[in-house]
Amino acid sequence: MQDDKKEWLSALVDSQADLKDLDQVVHCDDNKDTWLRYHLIGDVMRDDNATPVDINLVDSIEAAIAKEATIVSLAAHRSWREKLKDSVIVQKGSKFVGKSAQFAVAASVALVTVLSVQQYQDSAEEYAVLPVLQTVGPVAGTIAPVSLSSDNFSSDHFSSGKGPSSGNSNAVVDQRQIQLDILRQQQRIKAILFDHQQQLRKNTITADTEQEQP
Amino acid sequence: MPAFLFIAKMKKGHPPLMRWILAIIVLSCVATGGYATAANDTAPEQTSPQTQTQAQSQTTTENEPQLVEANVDTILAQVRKSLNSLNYEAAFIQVRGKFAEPFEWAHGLVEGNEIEYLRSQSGPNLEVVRKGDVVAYFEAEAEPYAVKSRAIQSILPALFFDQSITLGDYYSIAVGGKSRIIDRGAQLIRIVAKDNFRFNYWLWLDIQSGLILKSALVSKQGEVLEQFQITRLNLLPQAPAIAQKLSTTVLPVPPKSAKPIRTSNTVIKPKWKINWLPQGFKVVSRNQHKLSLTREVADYILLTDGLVELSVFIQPPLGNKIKVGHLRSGSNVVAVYHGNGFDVSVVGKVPAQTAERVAQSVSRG
Repeated sequence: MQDDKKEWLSALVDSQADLKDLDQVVHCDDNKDTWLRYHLIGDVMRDDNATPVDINLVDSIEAAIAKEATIVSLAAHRSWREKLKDSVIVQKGSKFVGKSAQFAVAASVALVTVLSVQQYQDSAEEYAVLPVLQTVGPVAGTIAPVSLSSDNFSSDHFSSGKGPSSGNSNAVVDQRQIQLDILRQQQRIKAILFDHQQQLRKNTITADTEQEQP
Repeated sequence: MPAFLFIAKMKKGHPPLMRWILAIIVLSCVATGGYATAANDTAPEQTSPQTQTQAQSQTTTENEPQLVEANVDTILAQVRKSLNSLNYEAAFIQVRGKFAEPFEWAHGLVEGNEIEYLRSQSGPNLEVVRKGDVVAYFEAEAEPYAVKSRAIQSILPALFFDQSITLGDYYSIAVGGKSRIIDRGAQLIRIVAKDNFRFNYWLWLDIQSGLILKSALVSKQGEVLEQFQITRLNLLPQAPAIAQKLSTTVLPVPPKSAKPIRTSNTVIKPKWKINWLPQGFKVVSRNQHKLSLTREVADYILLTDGLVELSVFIQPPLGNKIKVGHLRSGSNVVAVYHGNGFDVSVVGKVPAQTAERVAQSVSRG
């Protein structure tokens, strides 16, 4: 029986069946499924369709939507709300509801507090996103270690650059020049940071020691 | 009658619950910690914060309204007195940007002479000894040297040690909330910049001794850029052992003047003008020297507003077109500007925009 069914369907797929069989496909879900699958197999074998389509995709999306809708509608559903309200009113006088309501208030205060603390900390995190210099400086203890990645720099060589027409060899030279420039700039910034610390040590920061060079 | 019964019932059943709720509220207050209370300008429970910080010395400011603008000089005087006259042994952590470094710190008076000692506990060894107004730096792979100064660099701003430094009129002081730091009662004092060109500085003072237990450099947006945090503090009746041992140590002799070594082969002649500075920044030092790492010559200007320092370097252009803008290293920002025939670099613990604007304003004088 099964084999028999598959045979006529297979024939249909290969356009070797009667048109009346088509009705059977259209009106029977199971047949429709098999028919789709056969076409897919054919496509894959002929390499027509490189990406096999999940024929159940539409169904799964529908199912997912249905699921979500249930959650939303539970809260929005009028009769549910009414029922909930009724039960609360009924229980109002009892000690239990009073307690749990106060607990709920206290708990939400605590939650808000925790959330706001986290938010505060998050904003401090953002700071770290800025380009940071790091590596091993010559002196630890007082100087934050320094190193720059080339990402921190942008170069006019690119923007005003000679474009693709300048040829490959030129581009390589440019690249090398940029790397060299970045390296020299890095060294200078490192030296400046180090020197800044040295100068702070050497110069007493008092108002009356202002010294102008002759 | 039923209402009365209901209340009676409530009273019977609820006290433990109320205690719970109170406990939760108290806990959440603790959880928000110093920052939240500090951020809140109208923190309700301070009655006389000034007397708290100055419990030792004076009790004149009783019954003052809360969060009045505290007197900058009184608070600074108290902090300086505590830092410079007490005997203590401490350990602290310094957090700058992403980096945290532990230090050991001691201070004491030996026969009336101040001796301070600082040692890094991570990385290459660094030891610093201060005797009165001479500070000697002992580093790995470098000749020890001494300078005339009342403050060791890199612990806290020199402002808190050196009474000749004034904060000026560009910061205000606000008294914040109280909190617990290393099991000690602490009073928050906020040094608030009056403009947007500099950062705020927060201090947590030990209520008992007036020492700084914690400090933070905080941007206007509330980002913490740098932190100093004492992790262990022993207040001692006499100078700690290390200070007593160091009292007989001979330090290198500081140069006669604080002027740095000047090189004879000067390449850059012109003097420089800084056309824009945030109010209150003054020139501390101008010189020309070679950067020790690259041996490049630089014209150098050191500025301060009392709390933070700015270094301005003017150098011959590197001749490249690398755009740097600004970069961060720990809590320092470096702004680089390519001028007409010279490069300017500005370094300091200020907002990036400030450093950039200063760098761009430099011209030949």
